[in-house]
Amino acid sequence: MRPLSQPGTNRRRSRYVLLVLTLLAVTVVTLDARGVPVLSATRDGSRDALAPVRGAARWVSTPFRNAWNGISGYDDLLAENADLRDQIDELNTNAMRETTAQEQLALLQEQLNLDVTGDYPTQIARVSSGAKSNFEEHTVELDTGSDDGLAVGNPVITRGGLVGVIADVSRTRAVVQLVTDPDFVIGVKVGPDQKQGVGRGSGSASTFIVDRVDLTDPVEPNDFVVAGGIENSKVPPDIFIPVGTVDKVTPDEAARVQVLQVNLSVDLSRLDVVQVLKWVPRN
Amino acid sequence: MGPPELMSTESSVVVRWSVVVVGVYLLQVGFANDLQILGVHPELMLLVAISAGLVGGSSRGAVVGFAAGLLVDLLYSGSLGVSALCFTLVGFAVGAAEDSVIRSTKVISMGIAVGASATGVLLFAGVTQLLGGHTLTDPQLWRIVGIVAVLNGLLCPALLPLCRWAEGLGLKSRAY
Repeated sequence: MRPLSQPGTNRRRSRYVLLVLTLLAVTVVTLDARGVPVLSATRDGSRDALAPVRGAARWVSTPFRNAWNGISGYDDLLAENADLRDQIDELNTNAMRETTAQEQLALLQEQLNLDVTGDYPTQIARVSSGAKSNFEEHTVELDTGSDDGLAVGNPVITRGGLVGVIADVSRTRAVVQLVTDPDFVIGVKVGPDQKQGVGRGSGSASTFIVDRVDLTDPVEPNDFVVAGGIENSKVPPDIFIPVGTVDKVTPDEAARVQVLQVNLSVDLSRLDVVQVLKWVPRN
Repeated sequence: MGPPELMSTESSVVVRWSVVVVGVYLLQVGFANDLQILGVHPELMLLVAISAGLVGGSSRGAVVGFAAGLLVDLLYSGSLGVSALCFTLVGFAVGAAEDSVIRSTKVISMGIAVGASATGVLLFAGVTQLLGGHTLTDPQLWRIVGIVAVLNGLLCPALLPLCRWAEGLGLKSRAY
């Protein structure tokens, strides 16, 4: 049992402590919201300083984590095996079509100028397992930072397409806002006619939403959706980065627009190595 | 200024609590973040604040909650200070709730940890939403609340002895 002392004095002291700490926390929240540089510098500095500690803690706990993943991931492993078997069957079927598909792809890339990185300098980065809160499902951490020339706003891509943009950067780490984040908004082009629309994250791991596509614009399922080719966008205006393919088209007669549900071309659940374009949007 | 022996006791309590908070922090980043059930991991730092309230009362709960929350804020990429604010309030409330319990048992402590963890996560989601996030409207919210509450409740008896040691009550104290 806790030692007993004068209850009245203790209660007053407790309330005083609560008041001081609450005010302190609210002050920190307010200063951070106003973008006071000293706070972000403190956070970046402590992240860099704690990175080796986190690395060491993770290294020590590797056997326990592996054991846990073995226990908790057994069903996933079975499902993955089944998926892989299906994929082998599919690959065998598709092998004959491959030559034609490659020719079509070359033509399409030529048409769309699908040179993903253009002449922009890039930085290869690895997705680290970084610490994430339970609510941070739409971010990933990279193992490189401003020391390697990364900056807030840099687009992050893989060979499959757009992954997101860098939202926060310290000397040795960078946090990427994924395209699935409901706050992620970007101008996109749809289909062979390159009709413009506004894309945003849906909150789901594999789906992207494109709206404000004019009702009269012809859009079909399986049409490509690409980011780029638009001034003042989050990606360079002179390159096209694949986002995904249209899965479902829903007309909104009242607003005279179409809402497109898009299957993302990148599997964000299996990110490992990514490429960061060292380009920063003007705005 | 108090008597020297009292200050010495108080400073050793501070040192012991620092050891516990940093140790649990390492456990969180090194292991607990991967201890996921349906994509949700336990919030050990919130549990430290709760346990501090349980063993040390409302004042201790608030102070440890503030320190643990600030460490969490430095770790994650959300708004700085939000976890510190929420953990402070939760730690204080747990201490106040514990004071009203006549005879504490392990089950009561676990029950308080479950309720306080759920409240802490909801409070965090609410404050983050006020600051422009989408946490309260997150479709996973109730799953996160439920799993964090249950995991923290189950882990509470394991953490309490450490917190009793930090508070100077001894590892084998029967106080919950």
